[in-house]
Amino acid sequence: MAMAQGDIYEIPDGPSDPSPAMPSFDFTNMGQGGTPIVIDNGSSMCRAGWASENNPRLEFESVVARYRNRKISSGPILLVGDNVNSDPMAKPSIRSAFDGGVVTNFDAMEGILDYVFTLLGCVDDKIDQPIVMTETACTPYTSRKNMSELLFECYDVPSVTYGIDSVWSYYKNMGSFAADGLIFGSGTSASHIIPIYDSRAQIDLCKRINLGGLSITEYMLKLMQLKYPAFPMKITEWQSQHLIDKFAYVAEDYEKELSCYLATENLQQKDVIVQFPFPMPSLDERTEEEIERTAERRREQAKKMQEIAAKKRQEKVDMRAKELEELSEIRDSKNEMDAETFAERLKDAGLDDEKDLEDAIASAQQVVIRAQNKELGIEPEEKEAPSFPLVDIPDDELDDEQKQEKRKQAFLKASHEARERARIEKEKEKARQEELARQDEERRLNHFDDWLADLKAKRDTVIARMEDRKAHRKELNDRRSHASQVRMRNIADLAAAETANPTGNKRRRRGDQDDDFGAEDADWNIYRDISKDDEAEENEEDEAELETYNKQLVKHAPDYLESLDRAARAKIENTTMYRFTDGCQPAILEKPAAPQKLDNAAIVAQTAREYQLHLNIERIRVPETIFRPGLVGLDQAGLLETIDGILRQTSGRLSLINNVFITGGGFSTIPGMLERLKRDIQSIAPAGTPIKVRRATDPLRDAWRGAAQWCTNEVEAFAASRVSKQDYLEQGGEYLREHGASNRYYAAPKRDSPFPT
Amino acid sequence: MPANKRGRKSRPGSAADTPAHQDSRDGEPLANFKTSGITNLLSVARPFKNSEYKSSRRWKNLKQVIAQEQTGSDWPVDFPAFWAIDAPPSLAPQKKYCDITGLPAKYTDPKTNVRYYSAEVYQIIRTLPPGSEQQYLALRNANVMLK
Repeated sequence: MAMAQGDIYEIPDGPSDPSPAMPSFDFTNMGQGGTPIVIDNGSSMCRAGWASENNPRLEFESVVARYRNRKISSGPILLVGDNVNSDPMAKPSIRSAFDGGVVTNFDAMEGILDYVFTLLGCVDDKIDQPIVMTETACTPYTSRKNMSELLFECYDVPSVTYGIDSVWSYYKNMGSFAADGLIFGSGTSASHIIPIYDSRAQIDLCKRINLGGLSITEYMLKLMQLKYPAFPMKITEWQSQHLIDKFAYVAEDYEKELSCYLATENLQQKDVIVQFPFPMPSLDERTEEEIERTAERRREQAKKMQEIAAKKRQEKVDMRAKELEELSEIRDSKNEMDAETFAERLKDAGLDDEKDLEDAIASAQQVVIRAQNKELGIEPEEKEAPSFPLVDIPDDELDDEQKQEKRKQAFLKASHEARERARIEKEKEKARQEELARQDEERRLNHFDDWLADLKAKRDTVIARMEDRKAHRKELNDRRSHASQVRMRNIADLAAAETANPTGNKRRRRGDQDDDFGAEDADWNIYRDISKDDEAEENEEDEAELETYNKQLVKHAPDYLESLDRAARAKIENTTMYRFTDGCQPAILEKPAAPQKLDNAAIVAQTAREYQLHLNIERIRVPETIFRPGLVGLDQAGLLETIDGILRQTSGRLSLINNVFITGGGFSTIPGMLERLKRDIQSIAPAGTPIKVRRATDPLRDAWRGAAQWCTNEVEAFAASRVSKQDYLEQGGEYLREHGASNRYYAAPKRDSPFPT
Repeated sequence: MPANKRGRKSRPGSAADTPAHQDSRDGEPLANFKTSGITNLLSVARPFKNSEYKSSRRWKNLKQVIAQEQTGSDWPVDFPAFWAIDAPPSLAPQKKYCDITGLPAKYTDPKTNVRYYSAEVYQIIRTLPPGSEQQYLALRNANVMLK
């Protein structure tokens, strides 16, 4: 049970062998001579076999499935026990014969008995062996009546003996009923406390707490589902039960243990990590070398592409050069031919007139020269400032054409000057930035600490701004928040200003007739304030700013961001809720400040974590329910209080608590139960009272073994306990012959009911 | 709910609907009965059954059984009947525990009635999706049942 820190328990999907092998059948010597058939008819497991043997022959889940499946059989199908799992079609029809620990569904019971008698090899035309069967404490008469009816009328058994399972388990472990004792028998659906004295079970004093194995399985399941609402797997009941079997334990002092459960040292010891199967994330399996090789290949490819592009460019230039040659040749030929032939030649070359030819030559020349320059590494020389000679000459000195030209030049000059101004401005800005960067750098070199503090402060400011924006957005989602109200008021004000009538009497009344809205740029921010669109742009700016700060910090103060992350993680890890849900594992930050690089192992671990449960407080919280049924909202006294009540009723028979016996499959198998019970009983017993608490050797099978031993050893008592068919016919189905391990029988007079049933 | 399939009339001409108890004496011998795989118990010979036996029972759940029995007969005050042996309500003061974590709870959220351990857990309660506080309350049967 104890697990070293950091160990992860991998939970199976279900039982390792879903249908355990049945015993082999060799019944020839059995069933002869009236060897009783013992059936421990428990609500979750049924165990059956021959009284002469030490162990039950059969042990199966007490369920039946009656259904149809045309693929297998034309008729109805009946599966019993672990067989129900063999056909998925049977699943919706799986039924138990029990309701709250009591047999109520006798169709299912008939199936179970058929199964038992068939597997025990009964081949006669009736069951000729006495039946010894367990029933729950204080079984309702109706249930026993129906059981007897089934046994006597359907199977024609000679006799039946009913007894209480946990009491027979006591017999198995004590050898008799001579010793006084107190039984805590805990089953699947309920737990009973039964005192034993005067050589029999004192059923009159028996008490039942309606909690059992099933209730804690459900409780554990619900707790886990609520603890991890986004868990990607379905946790099955079987797994929940498995977790209880594996990790639950009873706290010796619940309050004390609870108070320090999430403390680091305790948590490291007691937190259990349960790993569910998870899909492997897709990983980059390449080694560093391979990655480098891929990058190299990519670089080579890029180079090749560049070469190809250059070649293409060169081809184009060559083409233009050739074109230029041709065009020059055409121009040269002008002098050698008459105008008509020349025009013809121009037309052939796709040109309209001589001007067109000149343009084509100029553009081709430009391309070729530029390409040559580039090849030779010559920068295109600065264009000299264009001159605007006409601008300064007065109008009356110019003719009309010149005037037009002057206007054109004036316009060109203005735009040229504007461009110049912008360029200078840009250069200045660039210089200013460079100067700032230089100053910053200088400051970094000379006053590193101040510089660093400033940088940190700037980073904090950006983060604070982003947080504020986030908080504001969140607040806007709530209509009643202050932010929302302010926004609504702003909208209303703006709307009122726009719709105010031209005389503006509304505003005049308020005394600010002259509307100076817009006089300052900041006024327009109001529209940004009322806009509900996400401020992605602003956020992006801030992110970029943050990124530059982070880069600088990584470069010059490498540990700073790490330490921030460590602090952030520690803050999360120290919260109660985190410890509760994630134990002692390091927290995963949503936005780590330091750059993260996940290797493959880390990626796998992260995926695995999504499929992990942490079991900590639940380990004691779940079993504690038997001591405090109020935990699950059951309005009943807990185990100790009930024991106390029974002790009072026996006028202080302290011999009972010197032999407290726990059995059954519910709570009794949970570790720590004995110690806790002893400690608790000590607190209510007079000082110095001897107290002994023991567990059945086999809490699950001892009931069957006890019944088998009892009817073999206690011959007289067994003979007297057998309800015969005649008894059944004369006394009615609910009739019971009492014995040491039995319920009480009382022939309750029927009440004349005003409502006939 | 008439769960008694045995008592059902078989449809005329439908051999498949033959009540199971009628063929319980025929069927395959036991040797063919496998315990693993799909094993139809109805196809196995069960000679020990009384073919005359027909149950006319109607299936009742425990609550109905108890209600009927409790009022149908006169029971002595001290008779240990099924309904009489329930452990009584606890008289000890009930400690309160955090519905979320199970730790001792000092506070109760007046809005949802969820008990909680600390302000930090309270923050979690505030962010619970609607309805899940009822699931937490259902753990101790304190949820509001809408009828």
